[in-house]
Amino acid sequence: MNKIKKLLSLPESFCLLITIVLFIVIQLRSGQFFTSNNITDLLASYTVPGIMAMGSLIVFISGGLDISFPALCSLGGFITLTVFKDFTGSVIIPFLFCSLVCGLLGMFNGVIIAKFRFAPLIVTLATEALFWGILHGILRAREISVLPACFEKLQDSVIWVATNPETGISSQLPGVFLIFVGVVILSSLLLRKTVYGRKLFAVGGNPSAAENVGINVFWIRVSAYIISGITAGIACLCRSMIIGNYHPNALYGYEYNVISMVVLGGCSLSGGRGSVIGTIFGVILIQTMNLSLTLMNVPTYWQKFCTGVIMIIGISYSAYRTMKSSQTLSGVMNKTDDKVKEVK
Amino acid sequence: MSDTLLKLSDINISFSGVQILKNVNMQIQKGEIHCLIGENGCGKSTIVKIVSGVYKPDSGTIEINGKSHSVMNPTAAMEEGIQIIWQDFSVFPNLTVFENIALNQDLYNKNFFVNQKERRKLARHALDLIGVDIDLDATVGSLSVAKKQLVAIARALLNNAKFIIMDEPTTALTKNEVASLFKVVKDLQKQGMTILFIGHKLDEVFEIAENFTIIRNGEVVKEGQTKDFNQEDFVYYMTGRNIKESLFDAPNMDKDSKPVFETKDLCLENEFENVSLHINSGEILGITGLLGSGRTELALSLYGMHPATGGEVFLDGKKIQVKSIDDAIKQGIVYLPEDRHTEGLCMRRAIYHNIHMSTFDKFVGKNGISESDMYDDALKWVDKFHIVTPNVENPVATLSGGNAQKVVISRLMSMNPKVLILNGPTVGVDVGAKFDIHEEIRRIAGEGVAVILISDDIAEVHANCNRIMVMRAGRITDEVRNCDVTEEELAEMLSRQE
Repeated sequence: MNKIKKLLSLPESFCLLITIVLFIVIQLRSGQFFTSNNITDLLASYTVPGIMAMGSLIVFISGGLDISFPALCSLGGFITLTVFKDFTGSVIIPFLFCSLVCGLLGMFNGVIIAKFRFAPLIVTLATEALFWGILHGILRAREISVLPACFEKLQDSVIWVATNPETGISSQLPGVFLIFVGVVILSSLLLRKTVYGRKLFAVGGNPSAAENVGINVFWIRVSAYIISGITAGIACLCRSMIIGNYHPNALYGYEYNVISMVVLGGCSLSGGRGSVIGTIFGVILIQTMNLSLTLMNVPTYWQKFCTGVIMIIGISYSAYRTMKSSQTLSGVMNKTDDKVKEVK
Repeated sequence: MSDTLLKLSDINISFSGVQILKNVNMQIQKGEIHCLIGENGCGKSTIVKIVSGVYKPDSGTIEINGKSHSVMNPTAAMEEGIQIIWQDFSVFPNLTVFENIALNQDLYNKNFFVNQKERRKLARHALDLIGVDIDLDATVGSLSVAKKQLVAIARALLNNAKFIIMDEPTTALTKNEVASLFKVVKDLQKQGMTILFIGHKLDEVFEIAENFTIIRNGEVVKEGQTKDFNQEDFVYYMTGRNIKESLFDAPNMDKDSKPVFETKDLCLENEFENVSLHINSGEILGITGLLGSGRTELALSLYGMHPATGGEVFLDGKKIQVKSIDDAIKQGIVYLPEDRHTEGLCMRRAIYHNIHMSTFDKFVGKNGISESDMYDDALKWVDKFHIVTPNVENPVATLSGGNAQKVVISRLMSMNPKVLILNGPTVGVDVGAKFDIHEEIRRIAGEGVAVILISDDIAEVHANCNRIMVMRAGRITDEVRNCDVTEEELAEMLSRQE
């Protein structure tokens, strides 16, 4: 009983509860939710925001904030796809190259923020504009409708195909979904099982204490932005493979989606708190809602409205819990009553 | 002697042209509890930072275990077995107890993966060393201050510590917590640990330390064995002046008049019950009790933050309702909170803004708020309460504890109160400044304001309140005049068990 209570008190549980309610509501409305092809479609759709959310989560835990990653990875992705235009070797090479470019761009964010102690929101707002500017102004990026040949094999790989017996529509789960799974497992291991991961939590929780115990706070902070850059870069390539083309504006405004997911998943904006599992719940919740509302022919602005409502409920819920745990009255008389009972 | 663990010779250091330490010489023997005391800003913390390698001295040498270091750095300090328990403990509020304790070890061994089982074992071992039991899986942020400190101590012990420096460890602790901390410290000494205790509370120095060094304005003014000195000598060496407090006997009290403020059978569910008190103009009424006796809850209730659930309140003989803070202020009841940093002041705002935080309305003219009027008026208060500052436009954060507290008092007095409730007015304030604040409080009472002074500092209550009420478990259990009891008797009343 106590364990259940403890589980329910976790911020992650809120997200899970809402997700379950949402699933049931959609199933009742459409009757098509728990069909194999719908589930397959949903899983595939988690790939891109899911990978990005892992990077965002790590930045949040270190006490930072990154809103530049869609611009950053659109830039990194464009460079990669241009450089490897006629490349026919292993698909791993462009992935590594993209990670390197995006990692460097992330490092640029991180160094400015950690070195000068500027507010991350302002810095990444500025670099976001900067990255978009470079992409459109200097590189004159346009849509790339045919991906380089090296991507073909991975792009065409399919994990399974699900067909809805009633409608006859079939859906595929693309091979890149495995990349998402890999990133999730790696993030989870990194955060929970490595000393580096615990350092991230320590820096996010109390940077001056981290300094005192001998953690290199500067590099921990920078590294979080590097990771955020790398995950975003990978997500950008994955997106291109799922859709089959690259468009420089495709990820415009994506940061709000991803940040909502991470925050709803119980991550603290002030740093030092958050979990991979919670973030996945957040991804599932927001992404399922967006997609399902589309399927139910709900207009886009209502989707935003619903996201807003859920966010407000989520924030109020955690605020309410904080309020309850920090009550100023100590219950002096109650305590003494207990003592009296003990004596009796 | 070969038993010298730490020897500082002729240490000088200055920051931006201001000399902070002048030719400091200091010795600490192996296995002793040494106390370094002095008022705030005298250079105590600078010495800690030099020994730990955070600051580099301009000249002088540091000798540890006979090895001379002209420059220390944090890693070398750690290798010599020096561990520091910082004033803010440097714990991670978001991590669990065992992680906080074991993290250092992982860093020290440069591990890549964490082994949770091993870490728990390590943490349990460290807590056993100081003989305390804390839930290993509790989040440190949810622990009490005392437990956070124990976690910090346990963490320090793991790193092969031989010499522990505690920077003002008792600032945020209650009397009982201090007692159990001292037990831990003495146990550590028995295990062969050397401890340097940085402090400014005299009674504690006498209780714990064998030897001491007193610093004033960056210079060592006295060193020796505590048993050869008494408290008054200490105060003299620390402040450089003779301070002796007389017992306050409410000279301006109008004994025949009706009480200014009175409560009858005041209750707050679960917190306190049947509190009846009265106070005349010119009196200082003391309310004292241990932490958790309901003293703070009573104060918050009188001030309307947690409105009483039963009983009556009278002001000037008329029954009043205090259902909110707004009600209290309108009736002329003001409150000085326990924690001036978070509840009493806007630390980053200018001094004069802080003084007028409650009375902005007065300065609103046709052209909005008049900054110059506010500025001029603030100067009067600075003058009246002897607030020491070069410029009232400086942020409050630049002031010492005593002066910051005087800013809060100015703000309260600018509201022309009839009843002034003070909750722990000299918490974390130096001896000298404490004396000054007591003088101001007496003066306020002399002006005819009814003052209620709530504090667990028995000496403070005894010296400054002409009448004292003792609270225990949410009830008023004793009421005495200060001239009828001694401090010891008062202390006994506080902790008496039925």
